[in-house]
Amino acid sequence: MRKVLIVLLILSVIFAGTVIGADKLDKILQDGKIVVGIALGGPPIGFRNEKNEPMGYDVDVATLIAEALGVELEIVEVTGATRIPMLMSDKIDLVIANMTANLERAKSVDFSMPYLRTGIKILVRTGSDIESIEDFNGRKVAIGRGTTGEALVKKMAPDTEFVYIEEFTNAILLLRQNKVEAAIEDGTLVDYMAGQYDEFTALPKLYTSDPIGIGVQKGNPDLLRWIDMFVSQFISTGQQAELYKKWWGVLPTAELAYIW
Amino acid sequence: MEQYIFPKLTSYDALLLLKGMGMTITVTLLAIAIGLAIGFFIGLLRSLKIPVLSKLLLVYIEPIRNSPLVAQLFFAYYGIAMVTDFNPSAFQAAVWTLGINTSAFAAVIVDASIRSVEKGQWEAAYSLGMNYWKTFRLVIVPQAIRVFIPSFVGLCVNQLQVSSLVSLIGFVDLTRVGYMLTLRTYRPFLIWSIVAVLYFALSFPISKFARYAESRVKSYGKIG
Repeated sequence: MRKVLIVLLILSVIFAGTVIGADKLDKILQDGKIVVGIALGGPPIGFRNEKNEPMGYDVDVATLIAEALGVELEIVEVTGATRIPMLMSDKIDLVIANMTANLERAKSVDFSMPYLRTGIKILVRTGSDIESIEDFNGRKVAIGRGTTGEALVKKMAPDTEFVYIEEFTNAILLLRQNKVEAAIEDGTLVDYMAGQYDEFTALPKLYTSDPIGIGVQKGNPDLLRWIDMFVSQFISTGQQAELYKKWWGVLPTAELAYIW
Repeated sequence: MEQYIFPKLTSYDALLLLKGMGMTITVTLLAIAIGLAIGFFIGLLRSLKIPVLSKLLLVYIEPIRNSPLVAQLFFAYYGIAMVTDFNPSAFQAAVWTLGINTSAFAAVIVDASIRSVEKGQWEAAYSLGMNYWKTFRLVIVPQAIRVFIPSFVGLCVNQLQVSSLVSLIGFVDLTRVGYMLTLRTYRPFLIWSIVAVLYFALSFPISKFARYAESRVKSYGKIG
């Protein structure tokens, strides 16, 4: 009897994930609700306004997706470190969190077509003598763990003293407090901060050209297909350029491709 | 430092801080209730010193007492959903993990409190014809409680502090609110001072109560 129970238990664990696993798109439409993980670590991509409500480019994209699906939007805050675990453990349906689509991450999550394109840039205190990544050697630099910027600095300036941060906002604090000499992040964030505060300067060089994609849990081809089509129309109808202008005040510098 | 213009705190922030404080209280109280219920049961069983069972109970108690709460929280929140159909919300994961964590420490306190009563007390009660349950209720509990209360209140204070770790699975407690407000206002000194004061306001009265309760139960004097 006990052996039978144990076998049943093991089988139920194995099948739980596979048999019941219908496509997430069905579940979203049935529940009338989509749960989106968004990073609210800093403007203009994701942040909180003075009423502590989520705002930003990614929030607007999520709102447009929920509208197009005809479902309610629930925002769950994620960070760079939690967004993939949250997606894999079914806490959220989508990740719209300024996530660079790269081949390493694509092993564990599926990416939509890019809905934003950006490149790594450097932020320094105004008047700093740092001119490029190579100048980082022997100095303290604020970097997000597991980010594109980290990989870049490890390659180009291996003697950099890494000061790891959770959110880009923390880099701003560290820079202000002279705890780091520079910060490295997506140009979308770096340019915005340099524009907001005179004390910071964004160095002009763009080090990479990174596609930012929406993350979907593996094994949901219907949802991924739908999101791809959404992004495609988001770009072709000019909505993307409009939204970019709303948050950055200028038209996007990088062209995005679309299929439909 | 004030030459920079950074956002000011608003009444919305005060509201959010209160909400976070409310969630911290809720999670801690629920966890203590769960911890006391399970911990009492296990501690009682342990005190019976039943040969094999006693060792088996240690298999529950020791891993929980000797692993970080953060690891337990991540296991409950991210881990369980990967291998079973049950997918706990951040609130469920927070309450149950902290509750089960509390239960292991409570079990040890319950066990030690019961054992602190001299063997002679049991023997005397039995010789008067009282059964186990009656002896436990009328003779043992009134004495064991003197040892139990101060340690248990101490545990409650400790669990209130460590409940801040539930912010790491994204649950919006007082610590998480502090984090959110720091990101928006760039004022970590101010925000974390407020958060610390609020924790203190919750914690200090309990500590005070513990000292008071200790002095009260001590003054009962020894029976027998």
